Amino acid sequence: MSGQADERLACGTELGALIDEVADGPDPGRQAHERRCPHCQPALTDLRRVWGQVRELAEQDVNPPERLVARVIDAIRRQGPPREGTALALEDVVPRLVRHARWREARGTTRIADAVVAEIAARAARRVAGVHDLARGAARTGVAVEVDGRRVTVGVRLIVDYRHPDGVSGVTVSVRDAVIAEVEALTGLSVAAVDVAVDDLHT
Amino acid sequence: MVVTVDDAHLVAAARSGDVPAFELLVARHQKRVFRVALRMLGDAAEAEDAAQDTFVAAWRALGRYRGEGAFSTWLYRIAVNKCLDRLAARRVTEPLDDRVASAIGGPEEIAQGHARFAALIRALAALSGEQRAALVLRELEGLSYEEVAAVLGVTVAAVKGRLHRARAELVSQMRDWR
Repeated sequence: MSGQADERLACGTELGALIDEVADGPDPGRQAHERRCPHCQPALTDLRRVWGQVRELAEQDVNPPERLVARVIDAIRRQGPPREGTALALEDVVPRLVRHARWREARGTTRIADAVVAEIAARAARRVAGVHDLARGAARTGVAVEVDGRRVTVGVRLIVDYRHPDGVSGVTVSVRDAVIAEVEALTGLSVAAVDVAVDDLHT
Repeated sequence: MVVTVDDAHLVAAARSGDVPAFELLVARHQKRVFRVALRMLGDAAEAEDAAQDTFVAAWRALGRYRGEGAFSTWLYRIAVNKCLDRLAARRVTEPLDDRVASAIGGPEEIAQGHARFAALIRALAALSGEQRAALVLRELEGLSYEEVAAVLGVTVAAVKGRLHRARAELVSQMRDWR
């Protein structure tokens, strides 16, 4: 394959220079010549047409496969934390299996799936003024729940309304109160902690 | 409109092991990483693998990313290197047509896109890996010369020279196929 960078038109203009112009925009120093040149004009027209393909391809929307994010996350979970990493987020230590809060009462045992607790927490959080929505990852609900007997720890990731009068910290306090009240009232579980993370702001 | 937390904060969280923070980064950048890999490799399945390799390598190397320059530039560099490794490892040249078929995008896009871009994608595949990288970053991703230089770790003058040759070669190839 031999490039055309050194190829010259009959007027002495390098073809490569014309290609650069078509890609990058006109070169003011050359325009006086090109406008009059019977060799440059048709070459430029031809090159613009060829280069139009490149522009069109650049505009084309390319979507990665939907499974890509999940594939990456699965792979890095197998890897463990990055080299410098130490702390683990709540969602890290909660396996993605169904877990149950479970306890024994006088006339039998009760168990509540963590997904049920998560759904209750999610609804409670969404109802709080200033919460725009829960922040979702690829396949996540925005809520993580860790159960231990009759105690439960809840993690919530939020998108908060930017200009809410309570401020971001005020909204997170309300979310914590709402989640604790709702989960305890509906399930009888004891909420040990609600970890709130604000990932995005809505304006 | 949702104003997202900037990459630097997510990187800081991810570096301390916060997987969901990294997941947000992957979701945010997957499109450009996959797109570069697809244009570099000309093969959708291989581009997916290269994109995964890129993010896994980024995760492992987060501690070395110091926030000098955009996170996207850093990711581009990893992605280009992963693709160059794959191109170098291709010992037997596979029939180009098989690759061209999957290079256009998702399966449903192939039918319309194939005929229109086949010549260009063939021409891209004929360039050296280094020329292709410069061309993809500048002409398809729309990066500035300075950004391309930062991704490739070379000077702006070197980028200009490489692009000059790559463009001429590309046009030459496209004319041959016409």
